[in-house]
Amino acid sequence: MFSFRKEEVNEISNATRAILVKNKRSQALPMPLVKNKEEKRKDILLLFLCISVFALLFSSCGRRTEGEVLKAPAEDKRLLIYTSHKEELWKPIVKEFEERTGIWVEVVSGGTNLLLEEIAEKKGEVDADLFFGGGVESLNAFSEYFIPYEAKGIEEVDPQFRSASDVWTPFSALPVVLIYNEKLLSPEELSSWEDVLNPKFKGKIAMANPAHSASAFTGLLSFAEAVQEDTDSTEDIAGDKEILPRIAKQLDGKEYADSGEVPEAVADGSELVGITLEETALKYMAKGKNIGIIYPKEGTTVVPDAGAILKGAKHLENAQKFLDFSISKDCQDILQKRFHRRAVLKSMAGEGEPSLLEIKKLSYDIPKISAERNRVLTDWSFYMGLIEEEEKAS
Amino acid sequence: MKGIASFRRYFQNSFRRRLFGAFLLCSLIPLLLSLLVLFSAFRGSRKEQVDKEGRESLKLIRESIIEARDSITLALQELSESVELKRALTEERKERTEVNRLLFSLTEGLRDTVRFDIYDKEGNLRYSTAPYLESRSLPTDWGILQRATRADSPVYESSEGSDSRSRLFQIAVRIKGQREGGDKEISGYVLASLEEEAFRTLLSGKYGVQNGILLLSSYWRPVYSENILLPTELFSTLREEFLRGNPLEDSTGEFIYTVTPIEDMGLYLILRQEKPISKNMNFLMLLLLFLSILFGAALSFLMGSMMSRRLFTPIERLRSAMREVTLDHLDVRLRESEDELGELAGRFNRMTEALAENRRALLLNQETLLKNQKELNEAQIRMLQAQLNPHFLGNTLDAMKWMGKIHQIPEVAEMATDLADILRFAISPKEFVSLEMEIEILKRYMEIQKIRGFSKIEFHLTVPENLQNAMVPRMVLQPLVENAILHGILSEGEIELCAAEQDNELRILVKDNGKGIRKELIGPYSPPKEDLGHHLGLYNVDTILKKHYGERYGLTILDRKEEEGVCGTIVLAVLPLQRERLEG
Repeated sequence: MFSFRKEEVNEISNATRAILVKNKRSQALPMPLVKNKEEKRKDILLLFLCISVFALLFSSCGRRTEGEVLKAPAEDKRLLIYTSHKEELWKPIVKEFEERTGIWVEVVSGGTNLLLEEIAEKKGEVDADLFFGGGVESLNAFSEYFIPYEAKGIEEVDPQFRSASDVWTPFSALPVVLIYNEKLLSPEELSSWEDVLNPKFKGKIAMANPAHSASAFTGLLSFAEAVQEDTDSTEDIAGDKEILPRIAKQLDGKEYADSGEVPEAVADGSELVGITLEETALKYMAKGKNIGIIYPKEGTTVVPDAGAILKGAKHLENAQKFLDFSISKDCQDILQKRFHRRAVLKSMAGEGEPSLLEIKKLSYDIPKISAERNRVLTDWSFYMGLIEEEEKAS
Repeated sequence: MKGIASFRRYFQNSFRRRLFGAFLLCSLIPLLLSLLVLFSAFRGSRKEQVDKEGRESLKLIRESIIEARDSITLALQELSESVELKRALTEERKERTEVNRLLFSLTEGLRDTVRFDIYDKEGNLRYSTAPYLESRSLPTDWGILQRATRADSPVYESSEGSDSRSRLFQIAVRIKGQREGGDKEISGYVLASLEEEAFRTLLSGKYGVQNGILLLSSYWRPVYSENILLPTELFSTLREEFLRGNPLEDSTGEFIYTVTPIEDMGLYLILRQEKPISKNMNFLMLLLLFLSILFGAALSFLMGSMMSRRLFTPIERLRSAMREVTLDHLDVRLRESEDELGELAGRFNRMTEALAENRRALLLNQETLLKNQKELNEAQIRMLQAQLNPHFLGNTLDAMKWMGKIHQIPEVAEMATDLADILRFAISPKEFVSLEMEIEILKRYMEIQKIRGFSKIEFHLTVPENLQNAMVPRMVLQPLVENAILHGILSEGEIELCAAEQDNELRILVKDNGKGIRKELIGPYSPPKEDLGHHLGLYNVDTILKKHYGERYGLTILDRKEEEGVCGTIVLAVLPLQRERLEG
């Protein structure tokens, strides 16, 4: 049996009491203890953070960006162009422009209407500085998004191709022509618009959808203007109510989706006659395709395409330089010699075979036509739809 | 902040989680650090390797292109300065073979891959190293001839794309006029065209098999690409990235592109290399990292819960044992093991054992103490009661009675008879007697006192009939009366004994008309510090009453002059009222 001295017993019970008291305190006042831990944890977290940052730095050092010696060109050396021209046309011109001016050109290409509608949709808030290409009727229709510019050398341009307000600057002139398959047709059989209405060509005529192709629209209106009997009705575009149905009937309701398909269809013999632009026809002929060109007796229309500067252009000066370049002698020269387009310069009107002076022109009121475009297209699609229905019925 | 707070709470609420967190930190930090360092070192070395390879092959290609350029321009310069050629171009003389011989001799060794053409000042092709001479002309106000017209040194031009596929790159030098000093005059142009074959020969074997090489013009338009597997839109993608000022990157993101300009030729060389760390490699690394983290976390969790179980279970046991102790259960014991916690458990066991032992000893002590006290009390009483040797006295008194009768001294006989009665009463084993009996003995005592010579003392009794049978401790009245005689009246006076009932208590008053008592004794009786002998009777009676009935009973001494206006002393004895029959 143990025996304890009184002091020992006291000591033990005191120790127990102390433990109990401590326990109680730690339950009642946990804050100071917790705070201590928190501080420690913060320290640890900080340490961890430091280490990981250090490690990241270490791991990312030695990474170099490629081409750091190269600097992207400065803003004043840039130009962004929306173009509806084919790459084979815009590329050499843009390239030469870059070489001569040191301006880097970015090009976004697409259909005329597609690009113009994008501009309209964004209320002109696009990055592009310049719209290059497209018939002037289309540019007129969207003129609110452009700012006028009187290009250097504009006085050299044939007045018939100039815009009254200089909202666009003409680039090239594009006469509408008739083409035919040289193998299947002799040149005597086709010399005028009137001949196209000959019953033997019914359903054998290639024309693009005027709603899709600006050149087809010009072609259709030229056709209508040339063959309409009441020549006085210049007041109204395609005013003769009979003429559009007549043409539709002669086409037998057939249209091509893309203007590029027209010479193709004539060359491979699926059609006998085609309505297209001189440029398109010459391009095909240069490839050795067996098509011939007719400048109709009644005359034809020569509508220019153009370039226009967008409102809010970031590189306004460079866009202006481009327009200046586009009507320069050098550029117009190469246009006529290499790209089968007609130069718009007065001095060059006599060049070419036949020259622009020799080609008989129909009256073609561009502002009025631009204004009436939608009405004519609605009528046209109505008549074409009618013929399709008749065909189905029969 | 809320998230962090709850995160912190999650870890602080449990010892196990805290351990888990600590283990996690301890295992993950070094693991992650070493992995990161390892990865970055690996990446760095791969990167360096790829960079070096790229720089070397670009240098090689650049040098070979410049070398080719130098030999071509040398030939062009020599041609342009040839007097025969100038003459042939300006004077319209038919010196075809001579010029051709010159042309062929100066371009020896280059003609396999480079075509040399000589144009007149209108841009019409006149002589050529090509196998057949087509009729061709170049505009002099456009492109390369336009620039050659203005420049004294060779001019360079990249192809415009699709339509001149075979002539990717051209170098032109103008031929000056024939006359001396006629620097402004131009008689024609010499033009060297590098075809695809030329680039293929120049570049072949100078860059890695997996790599690709691109040649761009000064405005980043395509000139040549060696690898036919390169996507066609790559050129425009790179140009867009460059114009935006971004690092060169294609849509796949698996390649790096390194650019070297050859400024004076207006060319850019771009080498395409696979990234030093491919996507697969990156994925593998990430996977490894992820798995390591997962493994570390799992291990930490396991270790944490194991350690906490090993630590926490004994602590929990200790905790509940302590709770038991606070609830006064001292018999709890903990299992003892070898480690520190085991030691703690051992200490706890010793402690509770000691506590229990202590408690036991304390209880034992108390009991003994109580018992001892009781025994002491009884002994005291007996000792008080046995201060006379009763048997001897009784026998002596009997002998005295008979001697008094024989010798005809009746007073002696009577005194001896009374004294023997008193003595017999005094030594009877009964502790409690009736008041009547006590008074009878008191009467005997008074008779003895009368015979002794205290005949002038008058004794009055006032005891109600209903108190005759009240029980009192034996021999309590006699000492009180004796005290009254010895310390009060001495030889002549009156003594009165009254008994009364009040609040279930018996009050007995002994009054005398003597000289009175000392002032300091008045009040509840308390034994004097010294000199017990004077009032031994009072002390004994008080002690007996207190021992029998408790501390609230006993004697009280009063000054009769204060109470009743008569000189003398009153001794009041108070005890609980008990009747005879209860004892019966």
